[in-house]
Order: sequence, then C-alpha cells, then structure tokens
Amino acid sequence: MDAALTLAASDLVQWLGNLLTFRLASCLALSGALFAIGAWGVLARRNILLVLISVELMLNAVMLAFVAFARAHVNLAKETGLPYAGESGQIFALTIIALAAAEAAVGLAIVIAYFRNRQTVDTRDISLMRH
Amino acid sequence: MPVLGVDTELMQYSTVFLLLGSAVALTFALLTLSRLLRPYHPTPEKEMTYECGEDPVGSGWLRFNIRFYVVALVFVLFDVELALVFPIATIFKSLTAGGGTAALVAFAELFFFIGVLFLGLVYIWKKGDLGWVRSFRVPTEQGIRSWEQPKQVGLAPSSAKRIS
Amino acid sequence: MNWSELSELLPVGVVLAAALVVVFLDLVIAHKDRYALPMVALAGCVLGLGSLIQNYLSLTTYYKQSPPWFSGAAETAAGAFNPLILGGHFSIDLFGFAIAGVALLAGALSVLSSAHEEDDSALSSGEYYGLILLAVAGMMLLGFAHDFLTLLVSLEIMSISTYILAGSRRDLKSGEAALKYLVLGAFSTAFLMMGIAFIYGATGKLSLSEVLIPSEQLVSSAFLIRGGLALLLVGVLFKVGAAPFHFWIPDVYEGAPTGVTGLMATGVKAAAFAVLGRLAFETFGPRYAHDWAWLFAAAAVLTMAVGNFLALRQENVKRMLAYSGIAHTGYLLLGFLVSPNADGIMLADQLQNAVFYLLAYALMTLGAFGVVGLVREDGRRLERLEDFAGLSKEHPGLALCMAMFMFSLAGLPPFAGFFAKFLVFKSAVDAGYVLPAVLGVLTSVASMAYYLRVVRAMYVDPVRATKPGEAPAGARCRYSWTTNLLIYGAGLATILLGLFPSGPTFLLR
Repeated sequence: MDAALTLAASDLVQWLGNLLTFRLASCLALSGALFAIGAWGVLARRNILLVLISVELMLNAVMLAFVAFARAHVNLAKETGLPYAGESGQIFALTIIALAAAEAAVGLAIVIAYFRNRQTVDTRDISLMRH
Repeated sequence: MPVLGVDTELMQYSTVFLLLGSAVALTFALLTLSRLLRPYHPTPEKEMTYECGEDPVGSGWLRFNIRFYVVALVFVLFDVELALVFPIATIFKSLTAGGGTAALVAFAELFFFIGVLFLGLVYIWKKGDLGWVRSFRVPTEQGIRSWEQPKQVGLAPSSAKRIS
Repeated sequence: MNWSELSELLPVGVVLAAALVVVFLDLVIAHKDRYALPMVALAGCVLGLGSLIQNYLSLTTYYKQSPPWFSGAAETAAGAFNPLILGGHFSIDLFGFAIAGVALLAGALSVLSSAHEEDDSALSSGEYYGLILLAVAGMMLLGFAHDFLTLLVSLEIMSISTYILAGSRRDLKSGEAALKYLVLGAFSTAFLMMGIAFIYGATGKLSLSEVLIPSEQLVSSAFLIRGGLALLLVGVLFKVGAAPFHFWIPDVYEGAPTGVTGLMATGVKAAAFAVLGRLAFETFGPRYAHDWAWLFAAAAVLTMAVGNFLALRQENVKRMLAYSGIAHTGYLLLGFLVSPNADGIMLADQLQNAVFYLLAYALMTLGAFGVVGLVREDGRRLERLEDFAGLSKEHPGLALCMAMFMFSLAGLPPFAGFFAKFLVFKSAVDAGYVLPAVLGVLTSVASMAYYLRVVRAMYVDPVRATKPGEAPAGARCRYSWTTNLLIYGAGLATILLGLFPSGPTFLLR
C-alpha cells in the first residue's frame, strides 16, 4: 500500500479516536447548553406543551451531566486508585429517567384537563388570578 | 486496550456501530429481495399509509382523539418506571456471592416493586381507562352509583372498516 | 447493610399502605358509603403517628438515650446512638421525627378539613385522600432523607402528588393553580437536580453531611462545588417559597382547594424546610457558615419584607394567608442561621426552636384555612374579606377561633405564635445575626395591620345584604363536624402551646 495512503488512514483513525475519546468538558458544555435552552424555553415559550417539553429538556441535561460525571469518576478511580464513585451517578441518572417520566405523565394529564375546561394552551391566557 | 493504535475505551462501541451497520444493510437487502420477488398490483387501499387506528383521510393536522393520550401516558409510565429495575439487575451477580440472602432480599424487593406497578395496572383496568369507550358511574334508582359498561369497541375502531 | 433497618421506616410504610387501601376501597364500596374514605385516610395518619411514636420509644429504650437532633450531633463512641441507616441514605434523628410528625399532623388535619366537600365528586374520591397520604409519605421520607438520591425521590413523591391535588377541583382556578405549580415546581426541581449533579461531579459523594468534607476525590475546582450549591439553594428556596422565588405561591394557594392549600402551606413547607435545615446544619454547619449564612439572612430579610408588604394590600383572605405564609417563611429562615462558632448544643437548640415554629405555624394555619373553607353561601365559596362580616354573630365559636389564629399568626401572647417567633428571633440573635432579627420584629409588628383587618371584619364591620332588597345577613357557614373538630382542636392547641411552650420538649424526655 502507498505510504501516503497509510498515513491518511492512520490520520483518519486518529481523528475518529479523538472524536470518540471521552471529554468531560465537551459533555458538560452540551449539558449546559441543553439546560440553558430548556430554561429559556420555560420562560419564553407561550405554548404550555412547549413549556413542558422545555422542562423535560432541562431534566435530560441533568441526566447527561450525571452520566458524564460518573464516567469521569470511573476514570479518576482507575488513574489514582481512589475509591470508586461511578455507580451512584449512573443510578441517579436512571432514577431521573423514572422521575421525569412520572412528571411528564402528570403534567400532560393536567394540561389535557385544563384544555378541556378552557380550550386554550396559551400561557398568556392562564392568568385568572392576577391582582 | 489500544484499538487500531488509539487508546480509547469508547472504541468498544465499535461493536454497536457494527450491529447498526449490519441492521441497515440487512433491511435494505430484504426489501430489495422482496421487491424483486413479489407481484406488483397496487390498489388505493393498499397505497394508504398505515396510521394505527386512524383513517388517513384529509389533512394530517386534525385533532387526535384524547383517548390516545390516556393510553399513551399509561404506557409511558409502565415502560419507563422499569428503568428503576436496572440497578438491581446489574449488581445481582455480586449479591449472590455472600450466601444468597442478600440476593433473595433483592429479588423480593424487585417483585414488590413490580407488584406495586401491577396494582396500578389493576386500578386503571378496574376504572375502565383501558377500554376505548371509558366506563363511567351512573346514578341508578336506588341512589347508588354503579359501574355501567358501555358497548366495548376494539382499540382501533376504523381497522375493521379498512379490512372489508 | 442490615436489612432489618428497614423497620425504622415502618411509619412511612403504614401511610403508604393506607394510601393503597383508600384508593382501592373507592373501587369496591357503594357510593353512599363514601363518607368512610376520609375516615380510613385519617386512620392511616393516626396509625402512622402511632408507629412513629412506637419507633421513637423503642429506639430510646434500646440505646438508653434519646436520638440526637441531627446525625452530625451523634456521638461516635461504640454503643452510642447511630442515626444513619441503610448505608447512610436515611438519618433516624429527632429532626426527622419532628418533621414526620408535623407532616402527619398536617395530613390528618387537611383530611378533616376536606371531608365536608361532598358536593364536589373529585374531592370525595379515594384518589384525593390517597394522594394526600402519598404526599404525607413523601414529606416523612424527606424528613429522614440524608442522601441526595433519597432526598430527590422523596421530594418528587411529595411534589407530584401535590401537583395533582392542587388541580383536583374541577374549575378553572384549580386547574390553573395545578398548571402553574407543576411548571414552576418542575423548573425548580431541574435547578435542584443540576446543583446535585455539580456537587456529585466535584466530590463523587451524595451524602448530605459528607459532600463538603475536603478529600482527594475532588475532580476539579471549587467553582464546580460552589456553583452546584448555589443551584441547589435556588431550588430549595423555590420550594420553601422564599423571596425572590415566591411569586408562584399566591396564585397556587388561592386556586387550590382549601384543604390542599392547608397541606401545601404547612406539610409541604415543613418538608422543604427539612431539606433546608439539613443543608444549613449538616452540609454547611458552623464550618462553612461564613460562606453561606449571609445568603440565608438576606433571603430571610427580603422574604419577610415582601410577604408582609404585599399581604397588606389583599382583599381575598385566602390570598392574604398565602402572603402571610411567605412572611412566615422569612421568620423561619431566621431560625436556620448558623453561627460560625456554634457547638452541638447550640445547633440542637436552634433546630428545636425551628421545629417548634413549624408545629405552631402548622396548627394555626390549618385552623385558619379550615375556617376559610367553611364560609360559603348556597354552595358558593366565599373568600373575600367582606364576606366574613358578621361571622361573630352567626357563628361565635368559629369567629373566636379565627380571631385566635389571627392573633397567633401576628405573634401576640399568650398564643403559640408568640413563643414560636420569640424562639426563632432568639436563636438568630444568639447566633450573632442581630440585624435580621430586629428587622423580623419590625415587620412582625407591621403584619398586625392585616391580621387585625380580618378580626375587624368579623367583629366590627356592618353586615351587608347579599341581594338588593333583602335584609342584611352575616356570613353563613356550612356545617361539618370534621372541620369543626379540626378548628376547635387547633384553637385549643394554639392556646395550650402558647401557655406551655415547653410541653413538646417535655414529652421528648
């Protein structure tokens, strides 16, 4: 095989490897961005369903942060021989999945009940009690 | 372990990518094969998009029946709450090591959890939320409200019509 | 891990079992027998309380000493009381017992105040009482939770049940309250979870008392842990309803059914303060008081000012009580200010004072909401101040109790509210936070204006005719023996706690 082609192939493998290497900072940046988008959605969107979706986005960002941190702790334990602290983060992430599902189900049920009464899902209309 | 000279653990995901690739390839292969083998006689009924339970007539932006949401919500709950079972499953082998009592307790806890979920299923079943037409309580002459079950229709009312 | 330690959570199990029984009982009994449902729920609360007391007594007998106020105050000697169970996930200490007791009391009293709502089928269903019991179980677990994982799960058990409860009346206001509570509650929970994620990332630990102990496990900067704690505090201050995160409270309290409002104002608040207390006393403690206590003090001052100021302008009694609840959150926050050089005895005293406040506040608030829930006309709920005119003539007993609750909430002797306020102000002064305590006294004096407006409406204001051409008639009430039992019981307890403030502590010995 041509020497230049071998070099290109190993470059590609190197590039793919770098892409696949776990980096805490990138994971946290993604998680932070998702959390911020979700928070903006809760505050700015007018459709109550989109607000609920934004809340779910925030919870997913938290889940991603937990998994990333758990992975970082696994690596740390391997490098330093300190006690292993990775599993509690993963269990936390699984728990958040279950909690988020329960919250979403209750949220949608409340929205459906409200829609039956009011025929609106616009947050600007949800202000009967403002004084 | 270095894979292709790259020392990264995430390369272990190569198995997953391999599986993904073969799944896509197999799908295409089977679809092409059946296309080559089957007879081709289209009718309007056959061309219709399969949309579980709803007739694909008119605009797609119609309001869906609210009962879809009730069943979907119940499904989501039962589906996702099982995520809580995974932690026990992953450590179960290590629990069997010390004599087995810990494993038994964990097993019992697992079944207790699933039992509580099952109680929830029994509750919504009894309440009639799983039927397509929800049963409801109606007052009778004695002043006692009783369960009245309206005529039950299958989960997909339009499917029968489509077959005929 | 010792599996028999699970038995120390038996009170929670009793309440959960009662919740299941109530829900399934509703499916099988005839409609005319539905009055039994609140009685079963009440029995669940009473049995839970009994089981809690039995637990306390057996622990005290076993260790030959009463439990410590919080796990950090426990002695480490062999054979000493070890409150941490199930691998440190729960701490069976006096603070937890007290919060669980207040939660059970709030649950029982809100069941009593809901039992008259037969006109609204959703409020007399088994689901309603089952959800109250589930929320109470969540609050009890939150009182004992000593780990971020158990804390979060208990918080969600409580919150999700309360979201549904807030929307259980089939009208627009109730639905709107549920929606607002759900969206803002989930929003704050997301912040709380993100805070926990940061703390876990920085320390690798989830135990409340261990996360700030320096160790080599720290992955990275102090920024991560400080940012995490800040996010966590935002979430917790949101849950207790402290300014500047209080804006959801008035709408949710006004829209929710009155029995549920009582539960949210007392039980949910006590449970949220359990989290705040564990953070202040176990996580931060005297060691980090310099860094964090000023934040609590600032929030306390702001909350007292905002709550009292906005309460002055309210014409709706339920909404006024909501703002008064915000003000009381401010007073309570004063009780959680930790001095940098506090010792274990002082911290235990402070916690004891805060718990006394929670108990007294629960009694008088639930009593007041009970009266508000009774005042109605032709099945219409009346909540405005002018609707209370003439209550002293039509129902002198109820008016007397309401007046007592108002005096007690304002902090006048000889009622329980006076001693509660006195004790938290004293613990703030003892911890060295004199200025917040002085501001607390001043706002407390100002608060008398709006509490006395209710008393004036009941006793002094002229009654008006409901329809033109009719003779003027005073406020009319629905009769409900359960709610009357709640109101007179709470009234009696408010006086007794005021006259014998050391009563609860005496019982502990």
